[in-house]
Amino acid sequence: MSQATVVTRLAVRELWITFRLLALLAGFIGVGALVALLPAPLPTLLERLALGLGAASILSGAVAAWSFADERARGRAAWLVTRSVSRGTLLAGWFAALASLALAGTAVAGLLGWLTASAVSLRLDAAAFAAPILGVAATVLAAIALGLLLGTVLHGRVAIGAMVVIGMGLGALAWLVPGAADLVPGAALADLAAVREGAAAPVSGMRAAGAALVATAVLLAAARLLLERAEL
Amino acid sequence: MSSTPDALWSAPSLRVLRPAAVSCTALSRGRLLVGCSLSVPVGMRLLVVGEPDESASMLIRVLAGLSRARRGRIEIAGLTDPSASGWGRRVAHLGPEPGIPSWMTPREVLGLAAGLLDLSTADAARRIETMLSWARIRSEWINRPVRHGGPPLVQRTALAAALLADPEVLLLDEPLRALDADERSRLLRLPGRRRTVLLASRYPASEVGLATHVALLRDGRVAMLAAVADLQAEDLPLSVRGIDTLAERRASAPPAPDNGRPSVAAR
Repeated sequence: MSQATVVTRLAVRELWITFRLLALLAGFIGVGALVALLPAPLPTLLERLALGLGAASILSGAVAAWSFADERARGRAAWLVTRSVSRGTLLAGWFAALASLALAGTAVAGLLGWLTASAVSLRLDAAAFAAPILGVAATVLAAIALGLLLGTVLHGRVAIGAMVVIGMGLGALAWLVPGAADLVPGAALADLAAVREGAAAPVSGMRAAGAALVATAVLLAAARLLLERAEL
Repeated sequence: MSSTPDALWSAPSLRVLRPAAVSCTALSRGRLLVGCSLSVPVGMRLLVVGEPDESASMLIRVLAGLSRARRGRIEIAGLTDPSASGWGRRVAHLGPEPGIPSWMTPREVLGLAAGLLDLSTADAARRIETMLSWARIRSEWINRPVRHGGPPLVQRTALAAALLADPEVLLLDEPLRALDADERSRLLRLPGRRRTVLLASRYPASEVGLATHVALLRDGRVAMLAAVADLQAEDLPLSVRGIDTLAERRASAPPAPDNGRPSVAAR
C-alpha cells in the first residue's frame, strides 16, 4: 500500500472519529434533501440548490482548514513526517480524502436536485443541469484546496474563520458581479441558479469549472510550498 | 532494518575511526541556532542542553526534519538525503507530543508504523510483539485506544513505534516525561552499541546514566562537547549549572594537547 493511500485512509478515519465526515456529508445531502422536500417553482428550486451547495462548499473548506490545522497542532503530521512520509504526500492524502467525500456528497445533492427539478419541469435539459453541477464540483475542490492552504499556515479557529470569510466573499462576488463571475471559482453556482426550461448547456458552466480547477491547482501548489517551510 | 550490522561497528578499525553518525554544519534557525556545527560519532549517547532551553529541542527538531533550518547542512549516516531512500528510515524521533491518534490502539499504531516501513507481514508481526513486550504494554491495553491508558500508554506506544525500525540514530526531545523516573530510565537505556542517541533535555539531572557525553548549546552554537566522565572528574554534577561551570573552566583553560581520543567535534 502506498504512503498516500495510508495517509488517505488515516484521514478518512480521523474525519469519521471526529464526526467531521458526517458534517461534511450531511451538509451536501441535507441541501439535496431540503430542495426535494420544499416544493417550489423551478427558478426558486435551483436558486436554493445553488445557495445550499455554495454553503456546503464553504463547509468543506472549513472542515479541510480545521482538520489540517489540527493535524499539525496535535503532532500527527510530525509523526508521519518522521516516518519518511513526505509533506507533499501528507497534503495529497488529506486532499484525496476530503475531495472524495465532498464529491460523493455533491453527486448525491446533484442527483436529488435533478430528480426534484425534472419532476417540476419536463423540459429541463439534462446537459444544461449537469454542466453547472460539474462546475460546482470543481468549486468544491477549490474550496478544499483553499482550506488546506489556510490550515497549513494558520491555527484551527483562525483558519476556519478565514475560510468562511473568503468563501462568502467569493460567493458574493460571483453572485453580485456577473461580469466578474467567470473568473471566480464560485461562478458555477450562479450558472446553476440561472438554468431554465429548454435552455442548452451554458458554455460559461464549463468555463467556471475550468477556472475552479485552475484555482485548485494553484492553491494546492501554494499549500505544498508553504507546508515545506511550516513547523510540524 | 539497519544497513550496518553490529559486527561491522564493533570491528577494531571502526572503533578507532568512529565515523560520524550525525553531522551538521552551520545550521541556522532564528536565534536558537546560529551557525551550529556538531559531529556525533557512531554509538555516542549525547545529552544536549541549551541556553536558552529551546535551542536543544530546536536542534533535535531540525535534525528530525520537523523544523527547517534557514541555512546549513545535515548529514546522517553519511547521507544528505532525508527521504526514505536516504537516511529517513535510519532515524527515529520521539518528542514531548507523541502525535499518535488517540483513537488508535497500540497494536494499530505499531501496525501502521510497520506498514510505512514496508516490512513483510511476518517480520512486522514479530517486531510488533517484541516491541509491545519490551515497552511493557500490558495485554489488556494492546487492543484498546491509547487514550484509555492516558499519557503513559501513549508515550510507551510512541517509543515502541520509534524503535520498530531498529533505527541507527534516535532523536529524543524531552521523551517519556509521563512515566515514573525508574521506568523512564529503563526504557531509555536503549540496547545496541552502534545506536547513536541525541537526547535534548531541560533537566539534565534526570538523565543520569543515559548519556556518555554532553553538549552545551549557547547562543545557538555548540559551546562545549564533553564526556560525562569529565564532569565527574571535575567533581561537577550532571546539571545545567555543572555543565555551565565545566564549559567556563574549559573556555578559560589553555588548549589541551591531542590525547588520541576519538574525534568529538564541535566546530
